[in-house]
Amino acid sequence: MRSGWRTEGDGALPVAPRLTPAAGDLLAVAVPRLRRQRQVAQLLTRGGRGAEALESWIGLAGECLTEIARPQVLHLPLAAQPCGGAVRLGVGPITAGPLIAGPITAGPLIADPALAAGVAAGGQVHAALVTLGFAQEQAFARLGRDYAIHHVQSSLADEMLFALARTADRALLARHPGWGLHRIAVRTQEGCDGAPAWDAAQVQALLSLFAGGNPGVELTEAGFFRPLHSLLTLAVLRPDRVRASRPGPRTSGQTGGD
Amino acid sequence: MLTEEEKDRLFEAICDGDRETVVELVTKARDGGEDLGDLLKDTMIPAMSEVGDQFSAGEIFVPEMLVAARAMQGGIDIIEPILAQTDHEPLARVCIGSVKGDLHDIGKNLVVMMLKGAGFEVEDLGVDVSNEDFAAAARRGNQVICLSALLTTTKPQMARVITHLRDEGVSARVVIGGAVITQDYADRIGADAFGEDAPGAVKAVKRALGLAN
Repeated sequence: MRSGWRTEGDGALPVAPRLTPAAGDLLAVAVPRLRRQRQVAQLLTRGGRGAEALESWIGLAGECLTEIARPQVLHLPLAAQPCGGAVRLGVGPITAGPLIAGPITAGPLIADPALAAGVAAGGQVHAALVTLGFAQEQAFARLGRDYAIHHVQSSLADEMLFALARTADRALLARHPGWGLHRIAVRTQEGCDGAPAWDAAQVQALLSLFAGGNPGVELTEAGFFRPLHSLLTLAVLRPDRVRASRPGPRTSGQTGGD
Repeated sequence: MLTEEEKDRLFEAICDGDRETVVELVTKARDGGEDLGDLLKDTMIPAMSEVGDQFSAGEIFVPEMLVAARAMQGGIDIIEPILAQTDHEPLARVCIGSVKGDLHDIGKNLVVMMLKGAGFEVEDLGVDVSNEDFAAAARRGNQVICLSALLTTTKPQMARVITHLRDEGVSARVVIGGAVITQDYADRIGADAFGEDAPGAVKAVKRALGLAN
């Protein structure tokens, strides 16, 4: 990545390193991953006019994203206050221990066993706001309102967003060598038909903690991020990382990492 | 005029996503005085229908459907301005949008492409569409309103749209679809039909209009 950490200087956030990788760097990861997606790979491998068309759309989608994407990650270390079996999160003084002295800005109360255990073990809670910083309508217009190319652009943007999120994780871990990162899902069981869904109210509460540092990411009333290609991750960093065992050999159908 | 062999080639070119050949043959048909309405109805729309059937059967996937739909669009772009000068009528007028609060357009866009390929005139209302905008689209003459929602959080909004449309006295048919939508849910909220995927949405629109069983 050409860009590194930058710390907010306007006092809006206590500690909010911002990462602004170049779109081209993310595309270098995203394009091969898109090409490896099973359905895409199948058509490309078959060849012919259809494959030629798809190849050219991937190129056009990449040019579009290079032009309009403004990728950035805003990291926010969060104060974590154990509260029964849950954890109250908020902006406040960050300490290495599980208990935070003094009041914290009201944040979401997350009932997640992994989060509670991580905080109890001295972990640090981090939220990261990850966005490609463009609206889909911008891309659609830039692509001449061509539905097929827009579809490929959207798939490519998905891969870019995931690449950006992985970059964010790596940057965080690089600042805490030897620590492990455990993702926390902000979920509710009260979705339609009782199916698990993310908890839009809690996500909104988390999002509000970014305050003035937020580069314009918001939630719709249904809990969707706007701009669409945005993520908010919640993770607990723990110093007691258990080393993973050696992964088994890859099968031919598996996609690789970046 | 195109020979039967050339019409077969046109059919195959659409199925294979060969836009160049589609444009070449449709241009030849236009320049040769072919009845383009018949060419669309008898050769091109059946080709897209075949693509839809192959997709629904799991024989091809989204990328193949995309290239086929875009090849088809290459032909439609030539035919449309000419048919617009005649009394040719589209199969029906359909509008589509992702419901309020939902910003996803991938599924909706696939349905737009397949509906156009099936001979419908489609008004794309975009994403995050308000109840009022759906009702206004019906008043503009759209006979079917297609509602798209990706996740469980926007599913209930479909019911609110239908209630709003009925309260407003809108008689247009309502078709719903999306990753988490089921026939049971469509029945519960009073939708006229449900499409389980993009080709299924085309069939659902036809069912809602009484054009298919």
